[in-house]
Amino acid sequence: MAKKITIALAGNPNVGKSTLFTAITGTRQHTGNWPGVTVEKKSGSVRHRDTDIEVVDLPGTYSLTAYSEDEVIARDFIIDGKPDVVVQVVDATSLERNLYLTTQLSELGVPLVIALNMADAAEQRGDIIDRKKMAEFLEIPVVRTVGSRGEGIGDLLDAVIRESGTSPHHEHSIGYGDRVEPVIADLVEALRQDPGLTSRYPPRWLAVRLLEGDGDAEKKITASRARDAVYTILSGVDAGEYEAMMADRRYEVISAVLPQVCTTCVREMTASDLIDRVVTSRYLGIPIFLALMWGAFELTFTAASPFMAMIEAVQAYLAVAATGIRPEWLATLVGDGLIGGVGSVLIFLPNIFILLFLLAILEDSGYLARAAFVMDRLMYSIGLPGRSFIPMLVGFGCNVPAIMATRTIEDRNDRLITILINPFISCGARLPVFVLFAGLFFPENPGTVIFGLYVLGIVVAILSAKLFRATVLPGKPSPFLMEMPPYRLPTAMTSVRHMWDRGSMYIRKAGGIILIGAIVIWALAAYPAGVEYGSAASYAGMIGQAAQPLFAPLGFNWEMTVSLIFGFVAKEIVIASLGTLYGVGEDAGALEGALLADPALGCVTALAFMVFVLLYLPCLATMAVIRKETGSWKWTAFSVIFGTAVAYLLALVITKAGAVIGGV
Amino acid sequence: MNNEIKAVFATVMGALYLGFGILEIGSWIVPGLAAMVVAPADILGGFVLCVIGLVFLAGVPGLRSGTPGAIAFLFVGLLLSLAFGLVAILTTGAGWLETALFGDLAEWSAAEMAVPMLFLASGSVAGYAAWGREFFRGIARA
Repeated sequence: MAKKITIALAGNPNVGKSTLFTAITGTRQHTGNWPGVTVEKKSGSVRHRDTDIEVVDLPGTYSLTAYSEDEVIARDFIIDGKPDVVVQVVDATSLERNLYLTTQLSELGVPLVIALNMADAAEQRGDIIDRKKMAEFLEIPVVRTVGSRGEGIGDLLDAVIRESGTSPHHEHSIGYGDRVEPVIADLVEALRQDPGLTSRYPPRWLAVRLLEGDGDAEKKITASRARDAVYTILSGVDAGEYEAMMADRRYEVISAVLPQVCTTCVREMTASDLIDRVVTSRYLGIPIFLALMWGAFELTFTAASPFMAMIEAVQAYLAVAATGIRPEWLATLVGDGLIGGVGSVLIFLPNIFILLFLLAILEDSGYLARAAFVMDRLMYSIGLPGRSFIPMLVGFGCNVPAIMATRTIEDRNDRLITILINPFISCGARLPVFVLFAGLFFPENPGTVIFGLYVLGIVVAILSAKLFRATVLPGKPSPFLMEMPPYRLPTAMTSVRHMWDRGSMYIRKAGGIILIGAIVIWALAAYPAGVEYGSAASYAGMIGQAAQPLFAPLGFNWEMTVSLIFGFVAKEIVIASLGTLYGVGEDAGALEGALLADPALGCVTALAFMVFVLLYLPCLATMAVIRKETGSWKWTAFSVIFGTAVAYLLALVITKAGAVIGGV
Repeated sequence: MNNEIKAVFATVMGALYLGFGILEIGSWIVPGLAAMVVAPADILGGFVLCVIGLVFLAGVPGLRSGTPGAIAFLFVGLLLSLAFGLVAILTTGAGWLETALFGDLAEWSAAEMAVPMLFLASGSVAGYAAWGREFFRGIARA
């Protein structure tokens, strides 16, 4: 009768695991779901040298912590499913990263075989990996495979059968140093009070997991008699610090092994490595990121200035031409409604395009990936994964694709928090408001004020994340692992194309929703018939005056109130509304003049208004995407109410602080 | 010898950037100081100059002792210095263009270009000309 064994294929994502699985099992595969979750489970079988081998393909994971569903599935199957052998598929071209998982699998004490996959790619680039030495160092059989060509499959299955027949297996432990080891020893001692627990889980492995603050490991001891002793030990331990120390130690071990088993794997530092050494440095990384962002905003304001003046000149010419249109109502529609409303938004297209161009350069050069890495430390400390920073960066362009970009975040709570804070990241549509008001009321440092507003958006997002994490969406962020693309010199063509892809949306909006919005606001400002255009007696005036008491504590007049109400449709409409309500059609500079002349407006009110526009309820499209991505009206309503409340509160603080300072 | 020259260059550039950065921040804090020094009262511009200065200076000990990789600080310093020099050129250039198109060019003065971010970058042009190619040749086009 043939022997039957089960093997589990483990490994990092994108190491050719599925290809190897297919190479081993051929067509004898079946798929289903892992129990209780929607993660696909693939298994198959093969007969080799009179042994029936059941092969289970585990989800790809970088480690065996419990930060993601995939990691928990992989780990639980290895521990509870008790496969006869675990085959770790290792990408031979990226040994350092892959061996991290090896160090964790070794601690489990399971029979392990390494499939050194994509070996051909490593050999082609000149790596010479000494598999014999590697097997000796790691005390694990190492087999060369090329899954895509089916090479080494027979050798791999031979090694698997051999390994399944050897016993017992011992844990290959890493020494974690004088500070950590005594705590591990104490924990192991405490865990041994419960023989049932230690017969199920290797005690040292469980101790390490507990010391790293693994919530899933903590669940395993909640009903154990060892629980109190374990909790007593853990109460004096900073899990984050110990986790970092142990991760550092694992990488130290890998760094020591790697040069001895591979003669060319440890390469000279490339230019990209060298740049990373500085821009991802613990102390200089964030200041460099802030400096670059300031440079981008400074250019956004100043370099756009002559182009804005050109558009303004064209707008003035058209406005004068519009005065000759008859009948008169059509002249005011074209002059005040279209040119005053839509034109007020079009003036700011140079700012939007310049900002998007600069962001495209940073993205195409590979820097934005580093920015996400640099911010990861900060993000993690506030309870968010570094992965959340990428949607936040995308949010500088538009919140809609940014919220869709959160799909890469696996953990539900991490993703929900990232979605909820994204509207605080200032999108391009809010830029015209900032450029107009900062230029008018802070003429000495408009770029600095705009930069400050963007930073304020990030700070509010971060603090909100911390609040959500501490209250409605508890949990621990999953660690952030990402491949850094090499730096590239961005070409003008590529960056212009990226800029156009993202920026053309604003032109389409100007011809669509903003045009409609401007016409609606013009009609509300021009009617009932016979009233003075844009006066308090118009429909717009009535709406504004009805809602204005709500905004009176913030110092906003009824025109600003109306613009905020209609800005909910699209944030550009805030400026279009002001342009229409102040009736600037016949004079391109009239909006600036009217705002400066308005006694209700000063530096403090202007700042409060900009902060309110920055933070208040998301636009209609963003709300729709929040509803779609969260699948919940509750969270959509929460986003609207929370954002508006924060905006109101901060604007009020600015107004009151301004009154106090002004009063002194 | 080559490393010593680089270390001296990084020290001088680092000190100049840091010095002017502190002056710009100081000018922002102390009213009237800007008129006495060649540094505008710009707290964030000053912060940027300080960051560039610190990047240059962070590499000096490594360059002096020959630590592998220390050269990265010099080159990233050069890169940041040139990038912000370009920001300063575009900023002043935009001002000139706007004045030329819609104002009176007689009102525009070349002195507007005398900002530390711009004149300090000229030192980095020399540094880039001397060593830039050896470093940046490893970076491909996007």
